[in-house]
Amino acid sequence: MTGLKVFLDRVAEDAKLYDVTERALAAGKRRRRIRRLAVPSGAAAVTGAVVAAVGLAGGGAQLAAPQSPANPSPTLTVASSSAAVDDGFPTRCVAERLPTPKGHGPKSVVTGGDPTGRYVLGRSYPGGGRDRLLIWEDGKVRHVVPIEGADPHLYDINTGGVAVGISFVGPYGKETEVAWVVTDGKAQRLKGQNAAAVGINEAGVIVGTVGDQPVVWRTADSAPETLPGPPGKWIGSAGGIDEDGTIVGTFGGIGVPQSLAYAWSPDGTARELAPVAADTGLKPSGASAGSIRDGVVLGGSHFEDARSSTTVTTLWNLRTGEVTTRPDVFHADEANARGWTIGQSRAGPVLSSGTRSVVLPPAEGTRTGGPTEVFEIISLSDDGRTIAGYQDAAEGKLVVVAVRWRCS
Amino acid sequence: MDDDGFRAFAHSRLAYLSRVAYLLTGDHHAAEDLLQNALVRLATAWPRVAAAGDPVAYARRVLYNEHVSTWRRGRHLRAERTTAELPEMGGRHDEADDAVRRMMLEHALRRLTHKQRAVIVLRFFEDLTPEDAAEVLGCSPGTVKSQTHHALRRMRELSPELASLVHEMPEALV
Repeated sequence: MTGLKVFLDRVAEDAKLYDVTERALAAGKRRRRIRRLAVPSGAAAVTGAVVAAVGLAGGGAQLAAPQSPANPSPTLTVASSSAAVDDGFPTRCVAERLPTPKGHGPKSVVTGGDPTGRYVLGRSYPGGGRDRLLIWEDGKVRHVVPIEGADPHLYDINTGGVAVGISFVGPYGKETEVAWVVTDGKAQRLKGQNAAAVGINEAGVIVGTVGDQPVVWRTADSAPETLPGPPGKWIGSAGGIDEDGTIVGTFGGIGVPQSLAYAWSPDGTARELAPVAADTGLKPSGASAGSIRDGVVLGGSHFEDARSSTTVTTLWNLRTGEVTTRPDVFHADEANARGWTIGQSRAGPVLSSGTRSVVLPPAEGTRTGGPTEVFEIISLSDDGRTIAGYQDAAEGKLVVVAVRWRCS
Repeated sequence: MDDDGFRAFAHSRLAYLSRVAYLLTGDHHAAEDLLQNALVRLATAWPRVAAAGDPVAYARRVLYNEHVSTWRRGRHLRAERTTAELPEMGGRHDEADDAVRRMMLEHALRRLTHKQRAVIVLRFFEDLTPEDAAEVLGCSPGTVKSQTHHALRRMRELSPELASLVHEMPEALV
């Protein structure tokens, strides 16, 4: 198999140097500090530790920061109530583990949630090699969803409990990706070959990808409609759909390091969402748009040169035209209408408003410190009160468990 | 130094870890994300890892497991940048053939599951034995062998032109 190695070596030569050392070092230190503060012996210490004033203002002033060196003495401070504007931004979050079905063991992950926080999507692992799709309702397992094919994944669910996702169907070596819509725990295949469904709104309109192009399914029975893109050859995908029907997605240039964030209005008009300018020391390489909620688009502005690359989390408010950044939050997965964002920060996993943030503590009875330190934040409710994700349960094994945070 | 050697370690291994991250993802942004997540985890556990004495093995384990466990998450945020349309293999000279073959390889890698892609990189880029690859992934050598088998078969099916690269020689599975 030396031939394969030669070609893998050539592909690897295209890698850049992704120098994320300083960010990793800063985040790692903050996490260790938080864990020390959050020892179970003192509930009061936990309460204090989960409120972190990260001290970043957000917006243009911070744009030079994404790759700045670590602060050698992290400033984890308790936000004083007088400093907080009373817009309902939570001051503390409490973690609780989501249950798995009987006989499935504890291993579970969260893959999505609905805008109210009532439904959470995920998977559990009953053994025997096949994982199972789960829908939790109000913290209890509501459905174990049988679905054809391998490696199933649910991405999104609306408040009516209708979910969308994918699996790979077919014999080994000939699998194709299939898009599904799940109603009352029953999966129905969506039309289209090599299709993925990643977003659904209250009206049941579904968005995703067919082949290499962004599409919308107007109903569960409709044929996919391709969304128009820029002239020339691009690969694209749709990431999210708003309640008014606005869709967002991303195109990537073929063979060129450039991506375009796109928004499609309900009338079908497409427009590009411009990336922010930021002094990262690298060349801008476009933007991407992943999700939308009440007119607020969450995505990233990308920068790279021949040796390295970085991403600045970016929010486009389509109603006001305002564009803001969250240089303090990376891997942002969801944002609500107020621009509150979940993701990773130097202080650990957070809910961030840009000026304030709440660090999400590990669930009781677990500890981080396992082999991979998994701590992923996936889903945020409109009111910012319910967050879902997963974390490692440690004990020296690679076991991740689904977690829901209630914030107040 | 207040980082107990983490910086020095990360810098000395950054080129290697970047290459693996890029091979696992095939995309610069995704590779950066993957490596950052992995290094955050490494930094968090650093005092313990450094004390245990084999940080390279630990870093590798974190990187691959991060890749497998965050399977396809965030795909909607990323436009994939691999070529969409593959040219036909024709009667070209070797260099052009190689370029086409490489594009086909990247295309085929894109269609693998994260775990399959991980075993391909572990076995054929890193040259690890099934036992060592199993240690990295926290699974059994049998799983590595079956995943390798399925991955190679899938790549052959997707791009029959790659057959000469990905045919299963006996040593691939032992």
